[in-house]
Amino acid sequence: MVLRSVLARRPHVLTITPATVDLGLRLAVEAELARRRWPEASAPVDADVALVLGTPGPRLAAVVRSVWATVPAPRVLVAVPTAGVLRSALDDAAAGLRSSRPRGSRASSLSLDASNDALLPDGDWADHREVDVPPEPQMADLAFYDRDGLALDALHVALGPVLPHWPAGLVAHVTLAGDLVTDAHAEVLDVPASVGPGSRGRSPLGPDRTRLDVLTRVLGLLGADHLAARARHLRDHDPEPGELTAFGRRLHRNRPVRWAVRDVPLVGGAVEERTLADRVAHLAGALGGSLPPPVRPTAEKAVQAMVGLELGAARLVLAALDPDTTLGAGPVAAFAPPEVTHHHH
Amino acid sequence: MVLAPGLVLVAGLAAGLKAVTAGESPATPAVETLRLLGKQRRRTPDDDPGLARVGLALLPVAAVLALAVVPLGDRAPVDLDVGVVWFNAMEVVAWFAVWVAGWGPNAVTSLAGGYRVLPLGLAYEVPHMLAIITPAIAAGSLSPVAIAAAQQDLWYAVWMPAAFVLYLVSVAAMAFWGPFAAPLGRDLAGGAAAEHAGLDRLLLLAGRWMLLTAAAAMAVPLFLGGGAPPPITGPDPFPGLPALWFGVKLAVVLGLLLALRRAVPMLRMARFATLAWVVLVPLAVAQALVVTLVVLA
Repeated sequence: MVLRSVLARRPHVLTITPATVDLGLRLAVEAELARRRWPEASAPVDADVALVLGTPGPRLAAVVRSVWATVPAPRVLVAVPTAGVLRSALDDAAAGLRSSRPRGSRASSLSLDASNDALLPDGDWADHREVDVPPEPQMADLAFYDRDGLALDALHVALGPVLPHWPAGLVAHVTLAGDLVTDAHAEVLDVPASVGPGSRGRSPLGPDRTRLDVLTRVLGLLGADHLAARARHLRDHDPEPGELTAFGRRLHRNRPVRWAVRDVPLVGGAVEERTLADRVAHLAGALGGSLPPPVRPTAEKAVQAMVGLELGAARLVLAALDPDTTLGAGPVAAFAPPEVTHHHH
Repeated sequence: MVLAPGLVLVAGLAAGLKAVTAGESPATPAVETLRLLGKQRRRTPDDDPGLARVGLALLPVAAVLALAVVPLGDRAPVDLDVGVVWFNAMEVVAWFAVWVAGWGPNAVTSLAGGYRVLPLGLAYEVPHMLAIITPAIAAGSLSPVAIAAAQQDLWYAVWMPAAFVLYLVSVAAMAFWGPFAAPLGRDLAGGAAAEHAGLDRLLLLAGRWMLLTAAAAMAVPLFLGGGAPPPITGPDPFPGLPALWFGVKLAVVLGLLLALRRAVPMLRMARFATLAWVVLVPLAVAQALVVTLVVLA
């Protein structure tokens, strides 16, 4: 069928990444998708291929099941446990989209809902069907804080772990008043919360590639596609120091980008920088130099920095802080909701 | 009757041009259209599908109705005396369309995306209205045909450059596109489009390109002399082909809009509101004032 062969030419790919994934695998997947010009899906509805990297633990497996249930057909679910099987897995995905009948025979390319169990550790698809019944609608509380005194409803929402340019395996449990984040706590799926500090200088990527990885996400969220593509290219192809400093200068000179990240504070002391603009400037300015790698805070510290910001700014802050989720959420303060007083006007 | 397919075709060409500048195949819009046509549609729990579909269907309709009053050459499909006002009214229909398309699915990212249309509209609409009213003041008419005809000797893009630039910026905002794509932003997983699949998604994304193209088409009669050749070329090398001149000018305007997208990243609504009220509104008022004084003198 024509539509199906067209679909396989440029499938949109939703990658689902566990916190404990091998960093090399994540970068290999991003580079291979860019090489094939397969776009990154912005949401499950936009996806043709759902790509599960590494080995998801039980919590993430449950998320994969509920996300997969929302991907519209025709669709293919593919597991990529190691970088070695990446190319064949993507070829299988394209073939699975092309064939009108879903193929359940190969372990790496599963199209039938019932065959997902092979992929997911303790998956039970039959049980999941019952979960599809929508739960009772939850009534929103009244916000105890908002920026303009409108007493908006407070919504409790879990953001992540399947969002574009989002830290691997992170779920941010946030309270929203309109589009304003009024409270936020981090959870890293399948990794116990540790008490260690952030990964100061511990990134296996090395300083410059870590900076480029962070910049790729920030620029991607900003919709600066060609700059994001350039940052990713430099990250994936051993660049000369001269190329790195040139890219850093190019970002530094780019007034629209500088202007777009202005006026966002970084609160909570997760990193030395006090504003998002400083953080981005330091990441770009240090490229090709000999400075130590950027500080990557714990997930809880990074998620706390979203509080008080509008969702778009909060997403930029989280991407720029780039928490190290392999360490778990980090020390979590006991949650004590402030006194809620309802004002009726 | 040919207006809607024509608009779809030109919007598709514009999207193809964008794909080429991004290093993709020019067939990308066609591939994406077929892809979305082949995808299943989807609903969310406790949604309002009627509301969402009213919005999704209205967006391309608003784009076609906005284009209907634009002279494509020397005549408009519907020659309305108050064409400029009609065009502006269709924009507000588009706001409503995106807003309810985001509201319908009953999901956080979608709703937040839909609501971003409001700060976007509040920021761009005042400079936009001043920018389209300024040529109308100079021509003494609200009819796009009359405004185009008043530029026999001098294009308004030259005579009122600030209004032209403001118009270009504000039409990108009106089509929530490029720097103003926040209602469909990646930070909200696609915003108002975050829960729409298949045909629903196609209507929203194609409707946006159609709106952008219709708005770019309006720049031709308002600022670039409509279907007439440039005043400096002397005798018209293509006499009797106003549609050709119109097409060339439309391509130039679309090219400028594509360059704008590449030069400026997506702006948060708070940033754009700052830009609009601190820079764009005073500039638009000053431009309108200068033109009014010259017309009165």
